[in-house]
Amino acid sequence: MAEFGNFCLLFALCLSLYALFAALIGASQRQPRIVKSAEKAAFAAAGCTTLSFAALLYLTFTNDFSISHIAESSSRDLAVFYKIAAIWGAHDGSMLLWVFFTALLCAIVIYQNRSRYRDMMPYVLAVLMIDLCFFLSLNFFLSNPFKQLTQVLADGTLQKFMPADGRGLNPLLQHWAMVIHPPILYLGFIGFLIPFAFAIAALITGQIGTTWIRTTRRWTLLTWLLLGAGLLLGGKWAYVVLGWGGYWGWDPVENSSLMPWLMGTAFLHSVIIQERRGMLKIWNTILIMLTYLLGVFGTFITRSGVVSSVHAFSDSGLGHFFLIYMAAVLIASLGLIAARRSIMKSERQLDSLLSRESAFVFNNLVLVAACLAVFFGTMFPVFSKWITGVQITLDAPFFNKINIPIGLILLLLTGVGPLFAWRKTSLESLRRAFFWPAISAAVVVAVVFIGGIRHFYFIICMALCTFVLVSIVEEFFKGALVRRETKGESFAAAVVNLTLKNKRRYGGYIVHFSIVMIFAGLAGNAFNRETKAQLATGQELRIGS
Amino acid sequence: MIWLLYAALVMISGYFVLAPLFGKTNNFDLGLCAETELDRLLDRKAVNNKGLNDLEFEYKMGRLSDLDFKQLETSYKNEAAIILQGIEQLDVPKIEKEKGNKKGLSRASTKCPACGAETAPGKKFCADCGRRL
Repeated sequence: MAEFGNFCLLFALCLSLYALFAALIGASQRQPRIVKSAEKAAFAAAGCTTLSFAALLYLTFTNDFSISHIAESSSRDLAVFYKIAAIWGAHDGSMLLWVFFTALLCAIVIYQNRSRYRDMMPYVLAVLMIDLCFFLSLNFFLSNPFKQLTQVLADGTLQKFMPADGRGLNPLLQHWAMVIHPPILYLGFIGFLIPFAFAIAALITGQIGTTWIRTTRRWTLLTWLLLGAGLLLGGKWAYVVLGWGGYWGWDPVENSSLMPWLMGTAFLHSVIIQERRGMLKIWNTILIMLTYLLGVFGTFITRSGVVSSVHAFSDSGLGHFFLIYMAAVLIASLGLIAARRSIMKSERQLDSLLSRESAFVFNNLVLVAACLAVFFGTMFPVFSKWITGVQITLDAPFFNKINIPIGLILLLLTGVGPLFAWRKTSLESLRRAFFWPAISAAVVVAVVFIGGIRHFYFIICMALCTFVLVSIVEEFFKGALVRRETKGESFAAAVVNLTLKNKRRYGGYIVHFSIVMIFAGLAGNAFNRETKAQLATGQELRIGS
Repeated sequence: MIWLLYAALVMISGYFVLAPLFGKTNNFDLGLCAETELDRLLDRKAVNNKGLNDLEFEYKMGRLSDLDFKQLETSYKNEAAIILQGIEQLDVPKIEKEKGNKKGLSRASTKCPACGAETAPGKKFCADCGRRL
């Protein structure tokens, strides 16, 4: 079965290489038959990676410890539930999971668009296949999950070796969240490949309009949601298992998941401006390119050993390949953007600084600043070693000092942004819109202050949470009142229909509500007290006031 | 035995992948769905209409002053007029005819010209992207 799994992996690589070249040749020669053949090759590659993944699953369940990966991450007494997690419990298997998901997503996207965007799809397919070929090559040649254990006999010959039992799954990973956290997180990373592929295809074909954004919007939202869910699940695992005293330790691998999420959030907001106003075309393309690359960078951090992390796999020697791939993608994408810059000019300018467009632009700048701060902090050990020869690691206090104010500005923008109208808003309108949220925030500040709490960031955070919450409620309330008047519906029906008829706007407010909940939870961190002491029997220690 | 399995996998995949190269018909034509000037104008029209609807909605919500509303409404209406003028200047029937002459999809078919989704005959809007058909 190991040989079969290995063969499927190699065959998938051959098929994806064929798909890549066939797509490019088909597009350049305008031969739909060749493109169709390329698409079928991509489906076949997905089938082969599925077979390969199934083979590893079978070998894990049948306790075939002659396979190095299984001997390293599984054991006979491991519960069935955790045997599944053992697949991605070590480096090689987790790479196969990555490849499996990539191939499946590629196949789904190609099938979804089998009869649309025919001019763009060959290039989309080519970009998808470049990514798949890269990861399949790494998986087959450098990180093969079907590698067999061998022993050297007395006469110097090599013989297959099968230990009586495996080393078992790392106890830290034996938690329910670990069974679903990596797959969800991987889907969150990989999914950004799809909007990136469409963006590149749009650049190549010169269709810089909103087609690629509309087509990939659901994929982007789903990917963003999965990445967010992956981050939260990781936080849950860290809180329960790792004993850091918290859910977030600004660990390099955690940071590498947060960065594409931040960049993806910026992208999700800024594409709205391109759709509505025909602006920020270059910016949006750069954002999705960076989001995709940050996803690859995340797996580079995890697998290269470039920075030490409790989550990282040991140095697998893949780091250089990732760096070359990322550099090539960056240069090629920027080259394409430069070549197309003449048709990517904004169709319009900002009408006013007091407009929703301005709020979105500011939101983008803050999100990118947050991402850069996390990137700089994460890579500081590497930079410091290059420059000074001494590796200096930045701990949580650095990240907190930088990111707490940035996070609070973002929270403020979450509340303020929707209060602006598109194009321009008068000061009088803003005064009316800000009235209730500001009054509510002031009341909360007073209550918290009277309650004896003096923690600056806690007070600001609670005030902003209240501001955003009231602004969201106000949006629904006023919107429902308008709908009740114009459509003659009951208030409850108006609220429901308002949301259903404009899911993008009101769905966005629901997401903002969840962000408020997260920030309210984060504010609780202000009261964390950690004390280490040795106590004699019967001795007491009081923590906090 | 394992070699037979490999051979079967390669043959089945090979047939699956290479069959389209020898097929008789093309069910699509590359480039047929490329964005045309008409598509771009229709997109702009749809976005402008959405902007105007949102403007009215936000005005009713009290988000805009009377003066702002009137200025912006005029601006949206002027843009709508420019877009419609642009559409009229294009020789739409000729474009339709050219597209219709090609094999495969055409605007008269049951595919949305913007996103390519299947649409039932007689529908005025695409159920997938909302574009007027």
